[in-house]
Amino acid sequence: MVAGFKRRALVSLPLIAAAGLSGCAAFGSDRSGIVVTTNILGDLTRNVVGDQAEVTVLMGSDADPHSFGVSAQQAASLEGAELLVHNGLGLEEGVFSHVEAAVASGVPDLAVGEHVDPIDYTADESAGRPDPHFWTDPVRVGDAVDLIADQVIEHVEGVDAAQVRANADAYRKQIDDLHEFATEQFGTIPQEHRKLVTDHHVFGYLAQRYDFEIIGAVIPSGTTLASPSGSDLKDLADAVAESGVPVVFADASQPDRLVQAMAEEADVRIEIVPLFTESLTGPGGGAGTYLEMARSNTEAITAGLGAA
Amino acid sequence: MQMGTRAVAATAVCALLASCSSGSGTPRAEDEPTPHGYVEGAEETAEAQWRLVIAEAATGAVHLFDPVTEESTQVATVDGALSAGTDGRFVYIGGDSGTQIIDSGVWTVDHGDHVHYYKAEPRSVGAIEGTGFAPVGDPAVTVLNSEREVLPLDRGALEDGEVSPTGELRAQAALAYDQRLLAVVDGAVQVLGRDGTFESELAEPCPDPQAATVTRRGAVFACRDGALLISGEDDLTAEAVPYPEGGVEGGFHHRPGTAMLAARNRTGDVLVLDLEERRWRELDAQNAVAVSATGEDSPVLVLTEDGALHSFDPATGAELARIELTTVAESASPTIQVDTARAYVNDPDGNAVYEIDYRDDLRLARTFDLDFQPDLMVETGW
Repeated sequence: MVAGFKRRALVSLPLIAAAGLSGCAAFGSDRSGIVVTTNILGDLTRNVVGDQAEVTVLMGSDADPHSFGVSAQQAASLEGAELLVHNGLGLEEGVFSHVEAAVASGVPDLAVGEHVDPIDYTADESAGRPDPHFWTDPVRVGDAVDLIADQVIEHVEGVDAAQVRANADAYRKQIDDLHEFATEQFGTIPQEHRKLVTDHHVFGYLAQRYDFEIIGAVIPSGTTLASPSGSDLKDLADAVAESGVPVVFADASQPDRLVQAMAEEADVRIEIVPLFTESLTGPGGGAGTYLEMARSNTEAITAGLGAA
Repeated sequence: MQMGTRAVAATAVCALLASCSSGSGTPRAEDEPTPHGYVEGAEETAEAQWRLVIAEAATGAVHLFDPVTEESTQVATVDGALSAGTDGRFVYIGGDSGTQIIDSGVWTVDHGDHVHYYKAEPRSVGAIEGTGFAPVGDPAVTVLNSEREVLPLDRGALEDGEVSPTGELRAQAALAYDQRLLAVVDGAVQVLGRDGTFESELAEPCPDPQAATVTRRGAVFACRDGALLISGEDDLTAEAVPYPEGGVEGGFHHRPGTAMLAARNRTGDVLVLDLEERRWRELDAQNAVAVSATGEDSPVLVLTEDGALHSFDPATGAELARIELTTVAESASPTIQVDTARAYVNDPDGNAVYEIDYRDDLRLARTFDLDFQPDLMVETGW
């Protein structure tokens, strides 16, 4: 957790705070600090805020943003926040009721995903619903950084606005560099190879930004993989045939077994490349920060499809 | 650490055990809602966790078999084990002294557009009087049906390791459907709240109910003259689908939740109920000892007395495939358990369980040789 200083208003006026009057943060609020739901947004927010305020991130590393929960203590911190930063668009199902309750009690909130021009899912039963995984597009992440800075300056008492803006600009520069890096890397992949065979539903934004086609596939696992037949592997084999690139981007529970089964039963040779999708890892886990995560994925996709 | 009603209950149990640490000293809020997808003490998994719970009659040993690792662990002993049923997570094994309830530690929570899979430690939960229960449950209530009684159990309590009826239910048969209970009382179908309070009575009767199940297309009772399909959300409608002849015996068998039901009739013939078409079809299979349907667009499986497994197209009644599996002894009662990927058939005399790829012409995917006799078998994880 970023070291910060806690500030307590000398006079507590909870009725005013509960009324949720925006712009009253300078006086009369007993709220303190910024609470962020997901660890990806937590990383963005900490880069923007620096040491200007305390940032609490609810979701641990290596967790699932759809299903992580919070403790009673964390839930209380959420209702006592000066600003609540969350992804929105239905991502954080596990804490949705807490977010809703905090917003209802007057905590200023920023549902980042809703303000970065969300796109809709195009495939399967989710088609037509907004896709919450905007962070696979660095350009939108850059916009998110500015949005977070605006809201921090507006709602968080005692921060140095110029410093926050400077932090955001410096971080945004790194995001712009990331976008440039990704554009350049993906540019080396031949157009006909720009197809991602995957069971991850999170790369829609990346695909749109960098001109990839997503080919959804069922990744055989469990009992299906224990003794598979061609029919068990057909969906994946068809997807690989459609893409023309024998690379599957998936987190297979038994990747070696899957590669072997595809070769033996479907006569298709594949390579399985795992990507980071919805959560940062702990330090040293390969995706300790957003920038590290995005660069790592960019390199893995480029290596996988470029070499093909 | 996550708070929630389950956490509160777990803490209450912990308070009785000296060795149990409560974790943090944070005060717990009684009314804290359990967050979506989070379950205390359970691990959410990326893929379905199927387990076969298998009991050996002679020794009473109950084993939990994981078809992925092919490992089995003994989880309980039920002397004189003679019946087994499941609600997808909890297994109800009837024996000499009532019915033992075992938490198989694997289950699925269906949220409509997505599902969550869970895994936790298996354990014995407790025992109740009576045997031969057929469970029909939802996330809040598991209703146990037997010829003698109907017992609604609080599923939340079972998850906390306690056996607690939600109330007394004087009915011939009952099931949990759409956050309510449907109970057949004197041949009439009553709609009850989960706590058993009377809400309404349906116009269509169900004399002599014999079996009950719940599917995505509604709840079904097998009544004297036909099946009664009850569907709808706020306003329930009941439709009778008369039997071709005779009634069903031994309940409905299907992949959990799916709306194609298979059953045997009293003469060993096989009946298939297509709930979308509201139509029964009789299959040309004699001397069936076990049946199950695998889904709306996939085959109905029939194990016949000669030990052959057959698959039939439920739309046309045509036989699609056949495989010789085993010889069925007079006293044995094999079953066919079906999940989304495979079907499992227990062979008590051969000390084996067969794993069948039912979408690939009944290909025998694996044979699990066991060092015990699989007399009773149910599949959990759904």
